[in-house]
Order: sequence, then structure tokens, then C-alpha cells
Amino acid sequence: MNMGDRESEHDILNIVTFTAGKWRAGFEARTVRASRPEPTGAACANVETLLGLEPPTEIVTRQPLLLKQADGNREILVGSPVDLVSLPANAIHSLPSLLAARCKLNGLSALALEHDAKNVILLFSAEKL
Amino acid sequence: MNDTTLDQVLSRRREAQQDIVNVDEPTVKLVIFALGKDWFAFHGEFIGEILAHADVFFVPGCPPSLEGVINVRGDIASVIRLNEMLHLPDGNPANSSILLGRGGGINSGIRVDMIIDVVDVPQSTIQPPPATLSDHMRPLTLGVLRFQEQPVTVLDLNALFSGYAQGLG
Repeated sequence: MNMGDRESEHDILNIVTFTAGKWRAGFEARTVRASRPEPTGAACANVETLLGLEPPTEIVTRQPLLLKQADGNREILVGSPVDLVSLPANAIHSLPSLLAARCKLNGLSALALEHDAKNVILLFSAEKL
Repeated sequence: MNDTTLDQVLSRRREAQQDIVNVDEPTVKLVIFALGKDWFAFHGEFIGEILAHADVFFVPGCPPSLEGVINVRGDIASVIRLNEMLHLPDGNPANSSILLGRGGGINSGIRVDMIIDVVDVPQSTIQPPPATLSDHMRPLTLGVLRFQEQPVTVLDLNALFSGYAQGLG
């Protein structure tokens, strides 16, 4: 184990996670300006539409997320629950080459395995939406 | 009294050694596997590991031939099926394994229906691809051989991975 490995074990990344379709997904917390408990009434897109995911088959509670983007803030609707989680850096993985080449989801930038390594969180780049 | 000198003896010995020809035929390691009824092989140097069991995490937005990702001791690898690329019917997942392959700078798992054997075979037993090989197989095939009375197609992992990345399969 070198110093880089040791450091990465202790590095953490804050992620805002939410439900998108059948999936747990997330944005890096530094790219999220705010999470609001209820829709503001402003017209904004569902997260599934933006990411290219199938819409949920069941009724879900929606919550607005305010994303920081280069041209200002952008409000989108995500599925509840919305959580702020701290993931160790070694649980976050860049996309395997073939998956990066063939996956059609918009802005998919990494995958994270939760602590029990039973679930994958899809990590998206808010800047690429 | 013999007039032979030590230098002459050693010189003759060196000449004799130069005449010895290495008759050991070069061999190549193959990982032979089945996809349906057909047998295929990869060169062993491109296969890092054979996984009998691994939980595959589905990732949405991918083609059906991309099963998902697996956790290999803390690292993530994609798992692909070759059936569509090789124009074969869907496989039988019951006894399947995953080969961890590396080709053209790309790492990925490859789902195969059954591992037949991992063997060293003389290089000369691998014949060039026959002229009758179908067009879709030609760029993916390094050669063919017979093993246990079965025809085996030796696949080019570099070509498979780069073709897959470009949208084949």
C-alpha cells in the first residue's frame, strides 16, 4: 500500500443522493446549491427525463434540487428520499471503459458501491446536464 | 601419443553444440470456453482470472449485451456477453462463468456459458482462419484449431473489445 492508497481510504466525498426511476443516483454535493422539501411550482424537469432513465412505474414523492450550473442555478425534480451521504473515496469508481463507451445515460460520470457493496449508486455530473 | 590439443577439443565441442537444434515447438496457452454449442478460445495472456460466481449490478442505459458491473476485490469491471456480436443465440447462465479479460488497454468481464479447459497447445495446431469464415467473424478471429474433436475458434480480444466499444454487439 502506498501513501496514495492510504490517503484515499480516508478521503470522503459528499454526495446528494436521491431516487431516479428505480435507481439511487447522486450528484456531488458541491454542485447542489439547495434541496427544498416541496416543489416551488416553477416549471422544471423530472430527473429521469434529464438523465435518460425510464420514469418510475409507481407514484413517487418529488422534491426539488437546485443545481449549480455554469449559466446559473437550475431546478430539477428528483424522487425522495434526498440524503446527504459521505462516501469514502475508495467506494467511488470511474466508469469501466466499455460501459463508458456504450451507456446512454446523460452525465453518468462514476459508480459508487455503498458500504455493504450490495447497491450501486449512479453518480452524475450536474455540469453535464 | 595423440596430438589433439585442449583448444581443438573445446572448439569441436562448441561446433557440436551449435549443431543442436531446439526441436521443442513453441506452445501457446489457450482458455477454451463454450458459448452455446460452439467452442471458442482466448489467448491465456489476455485472461487474468476466471470467476465462477459474481454478483452483477445492472446499470441502466446500456445495451442488453452489457450485463452490468461486478465488484472484483474493491474494483469495478463491466461484464459483457459476446453472443450478439458473434451472431449466436442467447447463452445459458446456469453454469456460466466470467472471464476477466484485458485487450487493447480495456479491461472487462466476459460472460461465457462454460469453461472447457485451460491448455498449452503447440502453436502449429492453430490454423489461419478458413476462407469460409463468415464476414462478421473474420475481423474477430485469430485462427482455428481442433480440441477434443471439436472445432475451436481463437478470438482476438483486442478486436472484440475495440469493436464492442465502437458499438458492435
